[in-house]
This record gives sequence, structure tokens and C-alpha cells, in this order.
Amino acid sequence: MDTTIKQFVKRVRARLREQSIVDQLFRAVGIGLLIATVVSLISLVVPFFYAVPVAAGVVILSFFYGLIMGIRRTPSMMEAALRADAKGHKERISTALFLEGREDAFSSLQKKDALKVIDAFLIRKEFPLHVRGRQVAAVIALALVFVVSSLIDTPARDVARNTNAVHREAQEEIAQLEKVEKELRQKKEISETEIAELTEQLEQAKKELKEADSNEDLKKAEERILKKLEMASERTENKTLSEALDRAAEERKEAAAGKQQDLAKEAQEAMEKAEHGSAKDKKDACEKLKKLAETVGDEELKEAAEQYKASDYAQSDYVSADNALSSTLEHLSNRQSDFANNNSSGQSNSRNTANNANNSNNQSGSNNRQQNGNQAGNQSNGQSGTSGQSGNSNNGANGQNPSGGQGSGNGPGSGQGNQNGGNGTGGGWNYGSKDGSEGARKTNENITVPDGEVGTDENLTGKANGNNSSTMEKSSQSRTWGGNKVSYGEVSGEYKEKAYKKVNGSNYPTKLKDKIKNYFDGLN
Amino acid sequence: MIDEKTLQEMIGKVRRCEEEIGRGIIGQRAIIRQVLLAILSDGNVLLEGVPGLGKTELVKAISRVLSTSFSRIQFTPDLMPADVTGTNLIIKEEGHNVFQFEPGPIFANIVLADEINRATPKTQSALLEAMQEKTVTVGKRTYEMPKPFMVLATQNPIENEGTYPLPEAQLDRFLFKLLVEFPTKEELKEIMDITVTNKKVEWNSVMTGEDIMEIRSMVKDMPISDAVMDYALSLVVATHPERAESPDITKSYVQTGASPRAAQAIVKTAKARAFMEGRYNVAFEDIKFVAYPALRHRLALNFEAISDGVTADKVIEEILAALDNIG
Repeated sequence: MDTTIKQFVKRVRARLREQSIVDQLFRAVGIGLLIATVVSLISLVVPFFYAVPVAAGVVILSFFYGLIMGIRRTPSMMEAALRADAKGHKERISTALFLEGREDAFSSLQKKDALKVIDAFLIRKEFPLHVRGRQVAAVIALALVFVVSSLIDTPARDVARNTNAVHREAQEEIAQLEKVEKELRQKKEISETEIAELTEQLEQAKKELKEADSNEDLKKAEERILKKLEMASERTENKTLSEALDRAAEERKEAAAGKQQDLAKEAQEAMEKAEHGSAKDKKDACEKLKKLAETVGDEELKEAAEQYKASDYAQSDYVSADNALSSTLEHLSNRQSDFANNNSSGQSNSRNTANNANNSNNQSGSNNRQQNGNQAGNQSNGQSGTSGQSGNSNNGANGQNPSGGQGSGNGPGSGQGNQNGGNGTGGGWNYGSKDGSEGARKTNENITVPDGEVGTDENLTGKANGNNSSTMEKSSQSRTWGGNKVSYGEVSGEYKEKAYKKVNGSNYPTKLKDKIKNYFDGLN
Repeated sequence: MIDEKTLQEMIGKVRRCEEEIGRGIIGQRAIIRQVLLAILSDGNVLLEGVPGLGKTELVKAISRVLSTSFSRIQFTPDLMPADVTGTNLIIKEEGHNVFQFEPGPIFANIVLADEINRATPKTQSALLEAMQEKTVTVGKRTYEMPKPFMVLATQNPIENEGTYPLPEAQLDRFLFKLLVEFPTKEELKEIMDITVTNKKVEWNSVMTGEDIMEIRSMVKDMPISDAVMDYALSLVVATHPERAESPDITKSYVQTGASPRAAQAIVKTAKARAFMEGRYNVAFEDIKFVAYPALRHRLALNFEAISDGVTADKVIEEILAALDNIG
């Protein structure tokens, strides 16, 4: 009897567990869907890239929570027996379960009585799996709202996507910086103090990267990192450190160029697809153009992309945008080849070779570093740039860069001259391309810088005679000032470098620093 | 060893007994059942109701149907304890004067203490020993009451002048306090039909005193599960205003909660009810059924309850509802 009663109660319990799971699942999934829907709806207006994954995660979690809670809330054997008794059996089943193992007369009679009830008890009929219609309707409605709201594309979602992409790139940059930091730490030649100084600067750079919310911010942060690396390289007397920093800077430049190329390729493909594609393709093309424009700092392309979008993808604006893209691509291509040439020929990792850094003909690319040549009497001007200005050599061969490179910025750099020619390379802080020609023109101008000495020119001086006449004779007192002629680019480069150093060492807000830097960039 | 046949036979007897009494006592089915429950649980009953509702007749009917001796004591202010318990008389025996105990009217199986609140507390307390201990002590001797023994006391709730309300200690010794309600018009018509005509109700004896004692023994063995026992105890605990888990109504209106004797009364009578229902286990509904008569005279309500017109039954109802919500 005891076994039969127990088996029966177990079956009731299993049925109640099923009901409990159903109840808890509906409740938990309902709540989960409600939260998910709210998150999804909020993300329509507030940029939150992970809204849909988070919402979906909440729903999945709520499902498992419901499942676990359903199992956990399974009634005990006695509770199950009481639930069965509640169907009008006046505690016969629970008392029979309570009397398990007792064999006295009353207990036996009671169990027999309970068995009669159990025999007539139809568990599935008495405990049908019950799902509340309202609950089901609510869950379905919430699921629909969630799915639909997840599929809607809004400006906030675009912003979220872009920001996320920027953050991802920033993380990659940070990882690269950490790699550089790690490599530097492993070098025994670099002192702890140097490492500490560098780490401090890198930490600041990482912070800037982390705070970057747009491609422009990221670009600026990257520029500043590069500049910091270069400046650190210049400042240090430690050759190993300098080499490592130069290498890191080169890697950063290569990565930036590669990224730009990738973006350009993507934009090109998107534009091809958009020409006869759907609205989504056109929108995608606009986004890619915009991203490329922000990354390379091409306002014209950015405006063209925005205009194309604003005109609801008019064909005429497509053409304009395509032209702007072509121009950007050409520009990038030139820069890339220039960069490649500089890299291949101007490996200027020795700082004791050329006397002048190259004069680059891009908007920022002046270099006024003076270095001591170790070649016999060589003074060569290493140069790169569109103008392909020949290297000048006072004593010896001309330094020359045969390539017609354009505008990859290179400020502080180094040059090298030898008997056969002069080559130069350098890294710049500003990467403008469209002003390259203008920069080239300006940097060709020479201006005189006074040196405070009296000039060497001969002068005539008048001498009064007694007969109201005068005679002219030579005088040793020159009325001219001595001076040297230097290029405009060299002067503005030096000016800008000082300004950058001052600004970087200041506590100005980042945005203000950018503004100041932009001003000095515009001087070229 | 109880066998099912004997058990069923006894259950049948109790049910027949209930039917038999019901033939002549019109409109008091619930009272009949509750009195029988008290008899089967070895308890005393306090019947409260206006005169003329058939209380005395009920007791008489019970004694007839149960084939037990019956005596009636009309309680008055001048009633002395000896008038109830009996007294020692001096009689001549073989030329000597000796004391001989003359049993009072209490020495019967069923005693009707009519209008018990009219007697002085001294006389009322004469019943205490008999009700609780089933003995009477006169002088230096203690006399056992006949078995079964039961006191059915009545009191009039309206006339309070010249009455002595029963003290709490004495009230607690009554297993049940039953409220005898006025019959309905139809029931009244039936009563008229029996009482003002030549028709006469003859009660047949259905059970004997021995049967009652046997049933009492059976009822004690009635199984009660932990869950049901817990419910009964929770009910009693919930009548105590000082307990944190007590419902609000208890905290608001109850001055003193029920004693452990209340828990005993509930469980004992619930078992008896299950027996009368032909079940072999106590159910929650048995507890609920006996909760009112077992608790209503054991709850001391405060002044707020009286001024708000809250009765003990209302408090019990709320407590039961609160317990059901928790469960």
C-alpha cells in the first residue's frame, strides 16, 4: 500500500513540476521580453550598440531562470499529496503518506480508504497543464514588439554602430601600444626612468583613445600618439629606445595607411554597388564614404557623402560623391607611393648623418632639424614630396629624391646625404593632402633670418670737402645686417613644433589643444 | 484491535443516534451533532440561548437515545454546592449514628446544569472537579462519577441581572460553547406539530454507555497528519495577540488568546467529527468545523471589540481566512 501511495504522489508531483515549469517559464520569459523590449526601444533613440544582443541575452537568461525556478518550485511529496487532497479528498492521501510504515489497524484502514481515492484519481484530468491566455498573449505581443523594434534602423543605431567601430579600432590601437610598451620593457638598454616616462605618455594616449567617440577623435588621437612616439624618439639619447620608438611610429603609420586603403576599397565597392542598388546599399555607401572622409580628413568627400544622403540619393549627387571619392583615392594612392618611397629609401635611423631634415611639400611637412653630417663636408637636403626638389649639396653630390611623392606629412625626420644623392624621410604630424601643392609652394620660398651680425657688404660714405664739394669713399661700416636664408617651411615647421610641445605639455582640454594644433597646421 | 466491521458498526450507531435525536429536536441539527461530538470526545458543553429553544429537551433526548442516566439541576442564587454534589447524612446503622453519603444530582451520566450563571460562583465551582476530574470530593472522600459523564450547562444571554458570569477558568473546562439559534418558521411549525398536539415523540435507545466509551477510545486513535495538526495548532497560536504572526484582527480585538486546552479540544473533536463522517483521518474541514464552538468561549475580547461589535466568531472567521491565505 505504501509503495502504491508513494508512487501516486510522485506522479502527482511530476505533473505539478510540469505546471510549475510552464508557469515560471511564461512569467520569467514575459519579464525578460519586457526588459528586452524596453532596452530595444530605448536603443532606437539612445545609441547603444549592444542593445539587441543584450536584450536577446536577457530573454535567454530569463528562459533558463524560468526553467530553474520551475524545477526549484516543484512541491515536496507532502505538498503534492495535499494538492491532490485539495481536489475534494479530505486529506486522505496526505494522511496515508504521513502514515507510511505504520501498520496499526486505523492506519491500515486509512490507507485502504486512501487507495480507493487514488484508484479513481485521474492525474491529467485533475491537474491539466494550464496556460493562462493573457500570459501567452502578452508574451507573443512582447516578442513581436521586440523583434520589430530590433529590426528598425534609426540614426541612434547608426551612431551606435559607428561609435562601436571606433571603440573597436581604439582597442586595437591600445593593444598595439601595449605591445610596444611590452617590447620596450624587455629591452635592458632602456632604463626604468625612460620606461616610466614613456609609460606615462602612452597611458595618456590610451586614455585619449578610449575617450574617442568618432572617427575624427580617433584620427586625432592616433596622430597624437604618433607625434608622441616621434618626440620621445627625438628627445632620448638612448639609441635603442630611439630605434624602437621610430619603428613603432613607422608601424603606426603603416597601419594607418593600410586602414585608409581598406576603407577606400570598401567605399569604392559600396559606391559601385550603390549605383544601381537598393536604398540600403546607397545608405551603406554614404556611411562608408563618410567614414573614409573622417579617417583621411577629407572634408570635401564628407560633404559630398552628406549631400548625397540629404538629397535622398539623387543621381547627380551620386556623381559628385563618386568624383570626390576618386579624388580621395588618387590622393591616397599618391600618398601611399610617397610613403613607400620614403620608407624604402629614407631609412634615417641614424641621427648623425644629414644636416637638414627633408623639406616635405605637404601642408605640414617641414622639418627644420639640423643635424651634423658625418660625411666629408656634405650638406645635403634630403627631400621628398611632389615637387621633387633636388637635394642641394654644397660640397659634393646633390641629394635627390626622384620620386614625385605628395604630401604624406613628415615633420621631424631625418635626412641623409651622400656623394650620390640625398634622400630624406620623416614623419609628420599632419597628414593633409589637399594642401600639398600649396605647402610645396610656400616651402620653396626663402626668407631671411637675421643673425645679429653686421653685414659684409661694402658701403660708400660721403665726405664733405671745404669747397662745397664732397667726395664719396668706401667705408668699413656696413649698414646691412647679416643673415641666412632659410626656407619658409623650415621656419614654420620649427614654429609649429615649439607650439606643439608647449601645447602638449599644457593642461589645456583636448579639444582646445586640437584647435591650437589646427591653427598651426593651417600655417603651411 | 479495531477491525473495520466494528468501526463501521459504531459509526452507524452514532449516525442513527443523530437521526433519532433529530426526530424530536427540530431545527437544531448542528447543535445535536456538536453535542454528540462533545460526548464522543469526553467533553462538557455550554449551551447559550434564550429560554424555550428545547435545550432541556435536547439533553433528555440524548440521555434516552444513549440509554444513560440523566439529571437536571436548576441553578438558582440560593443553590448550595451540597445541593449539587450531595452530602453526608447521619443515619442509624446497627444502633450507631454513621455518616452516609447521599449523592447529589451530579451523579448521573448526563447532567443538565440549567441556567448555570444564576448560581453563585461557590456553587458553580462545585461543578469544576466533576467536569474536569470526573470525581466529587465530599468531606474526606472522593467519589468517582459514572461513566460516561458529561455536563451540559445552559445560560441565558439576555438576562444579566442577578447572574454570576462564569469565570474564565470554568469556561475553559467546557469543551464547546454552542449557540442555540431560534428556529426558522418552517421548523417552528414542525415544533408546533409535535408539541401542541397529541403526537408524542418516543425516542429509541440506539447506543449504550459502553458503546460511547468504546467509541471514545476509537476516536483517540484516529490518525491525524502533521499538516492537519500543524493547522490546528497554528489556529490556536493565531488567537494570541502578542504573537507576531497573528492576524491583525487578533492584535486589534483579542485581549487573551486560547489556552492549550483549546488545542486539545479542537484536535479531539476534529477526530470525533472525522469518525462521525465515516473517515479514518482528520481533514482541514474538521478543524474548521470545530474551531468556532471550541474557541469562542476561550477568546477574551477587549473593549474595542465590544464597542465595534466584533464577536468571537468574527475573529475566528478572520483567523481561519488568514490561515487559508498563508497555506
